[in-house]
Formats: sequence, C-alpha cells, structure tokens
Amino acid sequence: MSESLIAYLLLSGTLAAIGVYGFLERRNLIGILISIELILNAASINFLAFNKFVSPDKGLGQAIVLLIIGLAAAEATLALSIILVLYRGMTSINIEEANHLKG
Amino acid sequence: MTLQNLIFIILSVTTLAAAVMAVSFKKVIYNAFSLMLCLGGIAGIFFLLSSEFLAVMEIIVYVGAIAIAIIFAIMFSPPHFMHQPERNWPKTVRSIAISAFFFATLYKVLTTTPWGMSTTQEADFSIQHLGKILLGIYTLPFEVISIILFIAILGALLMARKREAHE
Amino acid sequence: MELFLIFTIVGSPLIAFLMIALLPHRLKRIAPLLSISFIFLSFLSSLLFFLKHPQIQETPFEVQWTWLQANRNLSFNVGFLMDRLNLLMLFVVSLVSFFVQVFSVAYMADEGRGQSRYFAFLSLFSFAMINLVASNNLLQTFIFWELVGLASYLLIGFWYQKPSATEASRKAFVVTRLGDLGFYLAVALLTLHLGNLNFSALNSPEAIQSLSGGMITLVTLLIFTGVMGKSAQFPLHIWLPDAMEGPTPVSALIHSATMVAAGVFLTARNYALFSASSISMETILIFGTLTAFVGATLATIQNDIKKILAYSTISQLGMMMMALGAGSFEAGMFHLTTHAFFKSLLFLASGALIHHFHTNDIWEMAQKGSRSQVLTLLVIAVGGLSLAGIFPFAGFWSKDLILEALEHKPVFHAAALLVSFFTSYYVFRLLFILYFRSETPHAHEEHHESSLLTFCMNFPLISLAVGSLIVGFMGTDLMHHKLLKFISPEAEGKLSIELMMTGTGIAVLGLAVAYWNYLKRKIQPPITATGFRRVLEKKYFMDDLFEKVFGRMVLAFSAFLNWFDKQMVNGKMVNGTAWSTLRLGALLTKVQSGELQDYLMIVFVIASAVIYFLVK
Repeated sequence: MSESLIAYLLLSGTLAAIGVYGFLERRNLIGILISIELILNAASINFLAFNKFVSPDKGLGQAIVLLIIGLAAAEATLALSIILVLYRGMTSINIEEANHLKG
Repeated sequence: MTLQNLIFIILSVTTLAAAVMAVSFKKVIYNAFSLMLCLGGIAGIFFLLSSEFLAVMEIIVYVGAIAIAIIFAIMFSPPHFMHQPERNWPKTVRSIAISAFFFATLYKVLTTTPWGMSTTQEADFSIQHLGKILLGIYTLPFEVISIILFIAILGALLMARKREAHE
Repeated sequence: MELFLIFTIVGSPLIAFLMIALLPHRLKRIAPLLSISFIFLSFLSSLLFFLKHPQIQETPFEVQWTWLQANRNLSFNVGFLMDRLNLLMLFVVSLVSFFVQVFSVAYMADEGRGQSRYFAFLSLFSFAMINLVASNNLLQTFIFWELVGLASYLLIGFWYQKPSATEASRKAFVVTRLGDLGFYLAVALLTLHLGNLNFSALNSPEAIQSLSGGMITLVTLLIFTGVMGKSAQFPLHIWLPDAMEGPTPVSALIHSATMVAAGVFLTARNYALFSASSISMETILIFGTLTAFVGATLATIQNDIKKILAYSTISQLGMMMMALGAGSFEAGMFHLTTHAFFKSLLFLASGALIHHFHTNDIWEMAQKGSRSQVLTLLVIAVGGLSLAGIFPFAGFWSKDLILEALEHKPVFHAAALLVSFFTSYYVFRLLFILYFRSETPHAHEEHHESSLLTFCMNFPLISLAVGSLIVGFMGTDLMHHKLLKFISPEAEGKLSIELMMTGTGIAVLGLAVAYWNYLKRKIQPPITATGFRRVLEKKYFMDDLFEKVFGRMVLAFSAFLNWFDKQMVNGKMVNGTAWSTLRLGALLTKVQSGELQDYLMIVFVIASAVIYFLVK
C-alpha cells in the first residue's frame, strides 16, 4: 500500500476535499486560512508522490514542494495581515459580514 | 502487512482525522492545534515518500512558523475576535455536497488516468541533488520565490501597520 | 487633382453647413456670406473640372471606394461619377443655388436669428443635391435622395410657428416617402439580383440581359414611384402646391429648379434600364401626360402667384417625363435645364413682388399697384414668355423639342399641344393681371431699402433672365446645339418649321384667350364656379380622394397600430420585457450575494463538473 501511487493520491484527494469543505463552510477567516493550508499540503503530497513513482528526476518534485512551502509562508503572512486590517475596519472576521459587494 | 504499510495507514488516518478536526471544531484555537497535528502527519507521509529533507522542512516551516503564526494571531486577538456564530446547517450540507462532488471528480481522474510509472532504479533523493538542481536549472523560480517572500513580508508589514498621522 | 476638385464640388456646401451650424452667436451674421461663397466655390470647381476635361462626353470620370464587402458578388461602394449628364446637373444646381442664396440675403433680411438656420438648411440642401447628382451608384443616390427630402421638409417648415407650414412640410415629407418606398424596394431588388448598384453596371447591356423582362419592368416601375413622389407626378403631386408655404427662394430652388427635377434626373440616369422595358416607358409617358395636363389646367384658376407657379412646375415636370417616356432623353434634360433657369427666375421675381406687397394674391398685387415694379415685371415677362414657349425664349426651344419627340404619338402630341395652350393662357393671364389690370401706384409709399439689399435682389433676377435666354440658344442651330450635344452627342435637335409654327400658334391662341378674358371682358374675382371650373377648384378631387380614401384608411390603420402599440408592443413586449428583465435581474442579484463563499461554491461546482464530464 505504501508502495502504490493511487493510495497516496487518494489520501491527498481526501485531504483536498476536506480543505474544500472547510473553505466553503467556515465563516471565520482564520478557519479559511487553515483550510487553504490543507489544500496546499494535499498538493504537496501529490507532487512528492508523483516525484517518487513517476518522475525520472527525483529532485524536481522536491524542489517544487520547497517552492510551495515558501509560497505558503508568504501567503500565510499576507492573509494574516489582511485579516488584521479587515478586523480593524469591521470589528469582525466573519466572512459573511464582508459582503459589501452584494448585488 | 508490512511495517511500512502499517505506518502509512496510521499516518493517513491521523492526518485525515486531524484535517477533519481542523475544519470542524467551532473554536479556532482547536482548529489551529489540529492543523499542527495534521501537518505532523503530512511530514510523516513525506518521510514515507523518501523525501526526508522535505519532511523536516514541513515541520520547521509549517508547524514551526505558519501554524505558530496562526496561533499567535489567535492568542493576541481580543476574545470577541474569535466569536464563532451558530452553525449554518444548509450551508454545511451544501459544502459537504460540493466537496464530495469535488472528491468524486478527483477520484474519477485518479482512477481513469494511466500513470506512466518510472522505471529508473538508481533514484537520487539526496539533498545534494536537490541543492544542485535548485541552484542550477531552477534558479529562476528559486529567486522569484525569494522575491515573493520579500514582497509579501513588506506588504504584510505595510498593511498591518497602524495608520496614525492621517486619522 | 481630379479627386480634389470632386471633393471641393461635393464637400464645400457641407463645410458651409457645419460652419454655420457651429458659428458662435455673435458671428451668425456672416452665415449668408459663408453659404454663398462655398456654393460659388462648388460651382467654380465644377466649371474647372469641365475645363480640364472637355472630352468628358466620351470618357466619364469615375472614382469609387468599397464601403462594405459582403462577399464576392455583393459589395457596396461609395464613389463619384462625372459625366455629361451630371456635370450639366451640377452646373444647374450650383448656379441656381448660388443665385437663390444671393436673393435670399435680401428676401430673408428681416428674419434676424432665423437667417443662419435658413442658410444652414440651404447649404445642407445644396450638399445633398450635389451629392445626389454626383453619386455613382443607386444606393448612394438613395441616401442623398432622402437627405434632400429632409432638407426640403426643414425648409418648407421653416416658419414653424405657422401651423399651415408645419402641416405642409409634414405632407410633403409623408407623400414623398410613400414614393420612396417603391424606390427602396427597387434598390433592394437590384441588390438582390445584380449585387452591384453602380450606374454604369446597372445600365450595361450585360446587366439588362441578365435580368428578366418582368424584373426590369418591376424595378423601373418601382423606381418610377420614387420619381413620382419626388418629381410631383400625378397622383403624388399633391404635396408640391402646399410646399409653397416655405420661403419663396426655397420654392425657387427646391420646389422648381433642382429637387423636383431629381426624379427626372434619376430616370435619365438609368435611361438604358428604363428603355429596356416598353411597359415602363408607356407608363412614364401616360403619367407624364396626366401630370402635365392636370398641372396646367389647375394653374389657370389660381390667384395665389406661388400656387400658379407651383402648378406650372408640376405641369412642366410632366412635360419632361413625357419627353423621357417618348424616348427623347435629350429633350427631357434640355427642358429640365431651361426650366430650372426660367422657373427659378419666375419664383424669385414673384418673391420680389411678395416681399414688396406683402401678399401672395395677384389681384391684391394689382390693386396695390404692381405696375410700378418695372424690373420685376420685366423679368417675369422674360420667364413667362419662356414658359409659354414664345420665340425666341428658352422654353420655346426645349418645348418644341419635346413636341418633336412626341410627333409619332398623335394622342400625346395633341395632349402636349393642349398643355401648351393652357400654359400660355395662365402665363398671359398672370402678366395681364399684374400689368394691365394694375391700379396706378401710390408713389409716396415707396420705402427705400439699402442699396446692398436691392442689389442682392436684382442681381439674381437679371442674371437668371439673361441666363435663361442664353441657355435656350445653346440648344439651337445658332449655337451649333452646344447644350444638346453636351447632353447627348447623338442628339440632332432639328426642329421642323411646321412644328415651330404649330407651337407658336398654340401659344398665341392661349394669349388671345387670356387677352379676351382679362382685358376685353375684364373678368373680376371672384368668379363663380361652374362646370369644369368647379372640378378645377376642387383640384380634380385629388386632395379629397387622398383625404377620404387614404386618410380614412390611414386613420383606421393607425388606430389599429395605436391599439397594437399600446397593448401589444408597449404592454406585452416593452413593459413585458422590462418586467421580465427586472425579475431576472432580481433573481440574479440573489446570486450576487457579495459573499465570497457563494462565489467559490459556484467556481468549485463548475470546475468540478467540467472536469468530471470531460474526463473519459
């Protein structure tokens, strides 16, 4: 099982689906940020799985995952500061209240 | 059942359970701690995928930096900041349905695509090789990521800064 | 260089129009100057063009650009064609426009503010008319044809405070539009069947061969309905007398010399096409004769000087149509040219009288002492003798050419003679009343106008009088048929002595009857209406017919349309559309909840669905 690509892919798929659920359901912005981290990690698992079983160059997938981790760090910083600014403006981080673009 | 398989199952169950907790608890602080657990499980998975270096990086950056930053953000905030309203059941059901559909799509793609397995045996997972290609042919993405990080930090600082003079 | 000249010819009135329209208020006074100088520029350019291309008769000059290319067989062009026919028309249009505009300076001197509007409209008209004449294809002609109609509408209704003027402008617009419907259908049919609307292509033997005989008849008859509207042919002539509500110089320019001649010009332009259908030619001949007769008889009982001239115009247009229908293209165009000169002269002279006596009624003019206006009466006499066809005035030559063309069609020949009898009768009636029945003028009532205005009024009158004399001679043996040869190199223009004698005899007969009625019997107005006269006074019941039949039909139809518009179009369609749009919008705003996660749901559902159904 640990030597089959599909197992890893299913794991990452499930993780991504859970992330999507949280992304769509959570109203707390930090909860949403956490969901995004889950989805990114699912992608990382995917890359490493393909790296191990498919790619001929075993360094490539690792390099990409390193980049993803770097991006995630940047994204988390920015997201947190955006949440902070949003809170200052609305005194709430409930995403359902950030609906000023309502039609 | 080999030891490796056992470890894989344990890690998978832990990771998924932690992920579910990370998105389902109402209190954000629990979510954050569950996320840390989940990330630990993912690091183990990386280990199983023979990427020891990345497992370590996952722990250091994700658990050590990102999750901690989130927890700090939660803990430094006033209490009502984290006020969590009652669960909106229709929305929950809808979200579950959509994510299930999303998973079904992924499942269909995963199972129907013929993955061409690599046949190379002399796999080089070493950190030396990673370092070489990262500073060799993939220098440009590497540098771009560093610039993105730099700009993100600057932007975060700029946005989070309290504005004084103008108000 | 040619291109530049052509653009100057067709473009300068437009420039004048735009400049006048955009003039700031303080400078509005120079509007007449602008208008006159630009139309003169246009005239000079066409003269220059002619001088540079003396061989234009043999080799027409044509430029064109593609406007729309639909496919290989169908393209719409814009272009200009310069040949003998439209160069002649360009001379006539720009020259008459020039004189009329000069005259207008004096005539409209009291208008004040309205003056710049008036000159702007006149420039617009000149622009449209010159382009109509210069276009090289039917569609472009059609566009400018409509634009001329618009300018005519604007100018008839120039005194928009007068209800009768707006009424008349509306009538003119609607009646001519009725004819234009046919023209439009003809354009559509020709586009469908030939795909090329250039006049040279339309009138080429290949095009005529490729169309079936029935189609040619249909198309030419449809074009002729447009001609009937624009050139006031019976029974669509009813708008022209009402159009006299406009300022008199406008009547001179638009409703006698140029625009109403556009129909004749269009027929001449497509003469090869028209000649290919004998049915169409017969129809033109019949309608021309009817028009000529109706116009001439109606003119004999009018007391309003402008109405006399209007009906006379109708009758003369009928004569031109007769010539075209009889197959003598050059006679028609020659008469058009001479008519343009002497009729605009007559109109301008009557304008001078109206301006002086402040009345349109010839009896009132006589009472107020019309005999004192020696110069005006003199030029009226020149124009009138020309109209009546008295030797050696212009009308004599062109009318005899028409009679000559009709020689082999005895019925129509007789009708034409009858028409010239009536023509001579009403012309001399007018002259006798204005001169011999005039009271002695009260000398002290003279009010002096400034010398510039007097010059502006007299200069065009004298020039046109001289011009109409010269134009007549240009078609005769004395000048080696210069004008006729210009119109058509094959034209012979030989007049037989007997024909000249008959023509003159008929004219003299008209003179005699008029003399008997108005100088011997001293008929006084009002005259009791009996018999034929009553029919005339009712204008052959044409207006009544239109009123009763068409008016009722139109009223009923418009009542239906009103209902349809209110209930169906407005109620169900417009409001319904608005309502359903609003409802749909209200539904869609629900989608625009402004909530990020709702949007994300849609994104995920669609993305997943697409991938799910794409992956085999």
